[in-house]
Amino acid sequence: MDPRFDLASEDGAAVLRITGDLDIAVEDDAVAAVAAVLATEPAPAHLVLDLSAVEFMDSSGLRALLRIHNRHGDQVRLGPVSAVVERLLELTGTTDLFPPDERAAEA
Amino acid sequence: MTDDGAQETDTKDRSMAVFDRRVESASEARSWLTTFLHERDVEETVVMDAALIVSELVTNALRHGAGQTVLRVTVTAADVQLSVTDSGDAQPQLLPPDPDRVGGLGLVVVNSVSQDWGVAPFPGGKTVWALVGRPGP
Repeated sequence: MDPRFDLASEDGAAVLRITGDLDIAVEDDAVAAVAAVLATEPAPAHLVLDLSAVEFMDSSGLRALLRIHNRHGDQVRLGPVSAVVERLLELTGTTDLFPPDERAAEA
Repeated sequence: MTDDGAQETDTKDRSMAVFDRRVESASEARSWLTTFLHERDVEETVVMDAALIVSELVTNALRHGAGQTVLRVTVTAADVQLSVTDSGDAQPQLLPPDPDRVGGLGLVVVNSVSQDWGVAPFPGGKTVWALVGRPGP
């Protein structure tokens, strides 16, 4: 599997962890990786994006998140994010784009 | 420049690099800029903002521009001056933020992170420039 994407399973949910830079070179691959996970049988109840290991993100990374959200809706939730991801979401007013991962909210 | 001292300052504090039309160029431009600014002891928050701006501008040139992308940087005591030139005719436009629209967010980021920015069109291309202010002494 692509070393930038690490897939785990927790309580029936798929957790996709993205590492490194989330920019124009990764945008299409990130969208495809999420679609591939949600297309598996049996399909996971939902997918949590773990962006805590993302070291850089620009608006192309945000484009990836928007495309994922437009395609899969609330089936995809946002898990932990790194400081650079949080800043970009704040700069672009997209902090509330995804429903928060419930387990993260409970923690 | 006739003064040797001024010329030395010139070569020391500004530089340029050319990037091809490939998606890896955004990352390469960030690395090149970050190295240049670190060598001049530019503050880390300024380096991060400058790298974010350059990533957006080079990406815009890759998506909407034409030809190779030329990145220029100048460091002064007050700011970091960035410009990205390509051979495309399309003029970048700042659109109001809209989470429902995919695309057009690059300049929203540039606008919020930079001290000032603008577009300078010329026959055969355009330059988009941005300034990142440095904290005072």
